[in-house]
Amino acid sequence: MPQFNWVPLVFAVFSATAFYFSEMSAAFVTNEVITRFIRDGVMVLALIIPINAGMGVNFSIIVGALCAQVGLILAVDYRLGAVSGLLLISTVGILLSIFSGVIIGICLNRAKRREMITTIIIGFLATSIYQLIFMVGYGTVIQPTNQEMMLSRGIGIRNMVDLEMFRNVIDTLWLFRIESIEIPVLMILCVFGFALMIKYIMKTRLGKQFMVIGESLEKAEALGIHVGRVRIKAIVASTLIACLGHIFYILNIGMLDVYTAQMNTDIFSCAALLAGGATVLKADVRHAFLGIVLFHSLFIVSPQAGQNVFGNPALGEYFRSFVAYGTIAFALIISSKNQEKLSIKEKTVKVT
Amino acid sequence: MLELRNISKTFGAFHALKSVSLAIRPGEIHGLVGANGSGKSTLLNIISGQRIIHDTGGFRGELLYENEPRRFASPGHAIGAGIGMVHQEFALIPGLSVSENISLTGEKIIEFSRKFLGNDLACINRSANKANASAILRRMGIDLDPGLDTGNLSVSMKQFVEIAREFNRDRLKLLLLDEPTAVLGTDDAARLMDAVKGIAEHGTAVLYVSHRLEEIVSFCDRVTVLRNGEVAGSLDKKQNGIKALSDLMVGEKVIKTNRTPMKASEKPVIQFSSFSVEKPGDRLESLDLAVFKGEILGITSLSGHGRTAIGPGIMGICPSGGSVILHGKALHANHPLKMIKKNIWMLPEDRRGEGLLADHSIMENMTFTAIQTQKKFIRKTPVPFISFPDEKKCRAYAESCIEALDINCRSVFQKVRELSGGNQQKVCIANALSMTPDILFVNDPTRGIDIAAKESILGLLVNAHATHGMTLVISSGELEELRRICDRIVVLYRGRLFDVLSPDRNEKDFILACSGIRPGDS
Repeated sequence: MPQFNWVPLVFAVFSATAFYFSEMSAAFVTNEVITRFIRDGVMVLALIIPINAGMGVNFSIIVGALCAQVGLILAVDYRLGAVSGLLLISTVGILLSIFSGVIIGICLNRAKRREMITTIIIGFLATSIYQLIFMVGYGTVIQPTNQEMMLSRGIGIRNMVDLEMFRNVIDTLWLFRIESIEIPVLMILCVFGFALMIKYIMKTRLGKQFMVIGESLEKAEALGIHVGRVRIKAIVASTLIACLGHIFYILNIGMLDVYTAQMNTDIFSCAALLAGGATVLKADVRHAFLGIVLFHSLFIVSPQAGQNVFGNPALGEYFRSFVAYGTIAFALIISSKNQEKLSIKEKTVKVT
Repeated sequence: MLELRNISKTFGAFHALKSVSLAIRPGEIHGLVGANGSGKSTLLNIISGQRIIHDTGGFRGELLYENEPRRFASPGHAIGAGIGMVHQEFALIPGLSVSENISLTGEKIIEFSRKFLGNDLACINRSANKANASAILRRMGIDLDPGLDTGNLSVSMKQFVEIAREFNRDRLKLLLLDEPTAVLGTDDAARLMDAVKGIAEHGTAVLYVSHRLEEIVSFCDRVTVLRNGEVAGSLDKKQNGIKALSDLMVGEKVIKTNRTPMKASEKPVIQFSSFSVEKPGDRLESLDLAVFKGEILGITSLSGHGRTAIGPGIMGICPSGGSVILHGKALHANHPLKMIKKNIWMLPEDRRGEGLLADHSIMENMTFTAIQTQKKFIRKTPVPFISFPDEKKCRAYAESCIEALDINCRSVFQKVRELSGGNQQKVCIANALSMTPDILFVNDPTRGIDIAAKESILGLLVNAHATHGMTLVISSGELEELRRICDRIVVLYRGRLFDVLSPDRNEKDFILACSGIRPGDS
């Protein structure tokens, strides 16, 4: 589609206007954007593979986030130190997310062409199962070893779990300062590493298979590709990357908000990706990077801009959610229009 | 190489193939011809393991591939066994380059990286793929830069790339070509056939399906002719000629004329000029045609050549262009409701999908459109804007139709889904008759219906025409049926009007016209 996508431009204008009215310093906004880039970058990248495989936005990356949280809670429960803790978190997270990715993939193979709504509901379902386990299961069926993280009644985990031993373990490595701007080089390189990995995967055989099934399931079938299996692989990759991305996110914050940390990761990541110019049919790493910068700068400055212009910071908050959901709705409508155009083009090919 | 023994396949009550046997030797180019619906596509689908065969209950008979009985459950298995298929519809990925498309699923990878990344994630050796692709293209005699984007290629180049991809498979032993030249000009078709001959010389067997009889004659070592799902005959290189082939395709038939064609009235009821329709997979281009009041007009063509497009075009279901004059007034086809109000109705070829509410009763299906659009079968109430369907009138109408059209069912309340194809079509006709349209477009009225029901449906259409005086436009691939009931038959070729023939003409003339040949040409 050589069509010009207006979304990034609109975002750039919005961000610039809101930045002007917020009267924030450029250095502060840059610092915040860098932080968000590290926290949310990998999560946004997790969406790219399923989109290219024709499965739309994978809202069930929330499941990957939950897998990471399970690993973190276990690490706190067993009072593990920084290195051994990280090892446990990533092992548990990776295993769990591969397992749940396969299950989600099987579900989606039964819900072809309805993937997006299915992943939203799977996300809700997984969240409630997760809450059930940690609100009720802990202290009744599962015996915790670390009583500090439990609620005082003995059942359920506290809302906030402190991750003191992990704080500043990885995100202060290779920290550079340019005047008042902090640049954690290692973390940024990590995000770029993920981006490169995704670029590479899309260029391998597997990536080509993703592209073919994204183009058309019938064509893929005719080419002898096992469509179901490749789709499961796409979802597993996405869930796995999301899980690792969420570990980044929480370690960077340094606190685990047990019941709400995963909230909105799916919506905001999706909105950021679409803001960068991706559609639900085609997405690339550059869309993700551009989108994170644009979306999050708007996010950072809009409450303050609301405060300054209308004397009410809540207005900016509402504006944020409006922007997030608005972007997604807009992208969905636009892409269905594009699809119609494409199908008309294909018709003209048949008889000459 | 490949041997088929007594292959039979049924779709529901419809026999698509009846005990077909066929053998292909390595290096042989084997032609497969037959009229529409003679079972060619079904046969190819069976050999290439398409899911549709599996999903509709498999097939009976033996398929021996390299002397082993096989039954491919998916195209993946068939490809793994060395069977390549070139589809009528392109399976190319636009946005990938030519060489990427050619090497798709068979990419050359860098051996070193495979050791620790596995087959799927290894580095793709781009230059090797590119060199390979240009070697294949050169062998086919095509001058094409493998770095170009496939999406921008011309249709004939796309077809070459499609075939090149099949050539690229390491162990290509059997190549199935489903009308590969349908979209090509004569020069390109000749080049393609040379390329195919090239591979056949290397020992690959080719099964070649085409409607172009002259190609089959000049190109194939042997030809098998299918007729109504059976092998009508098999000809050698020496024996075959266009005449011999078309004789076999037609067969000996006693033509029962149900109806003597009437003298057409002078007054056109509807007139098309430069009428084009964008129907997916069945395009109609700049049709100039006048339909006279009270006639039965037949429209025929091969599938995909536009015969089913006219009805959806005029009803406003598919986008259309050009002008239509109805009863002397210009008509703008844009919405089915407007057309229904002008007393035009269409019976779609996809009955279950477009023509019926499958989970509703026979009665509801017969009266739905009339209630919704013409305020028939309605009981008025004193309150304005509120009225109810008149259950009694509906039932009376439905029962009279079941009686008159001889619909086989338990009661008027039976769900339409449970009826057979023929009875479903009758329900569609009853629905159409409830509105007494002036002009009725009918698409493939007897598709997927067994022989006995076919007769009664044709009878019904003729009857309805006689009693209500409506104008009928029937599109069908079944030539023989059209010739029995129509006054004139329009033959379309590649979406354009090719000829208008009288039904008394020789059946061979029709078959030739469908393939774009005039009797004088050969």
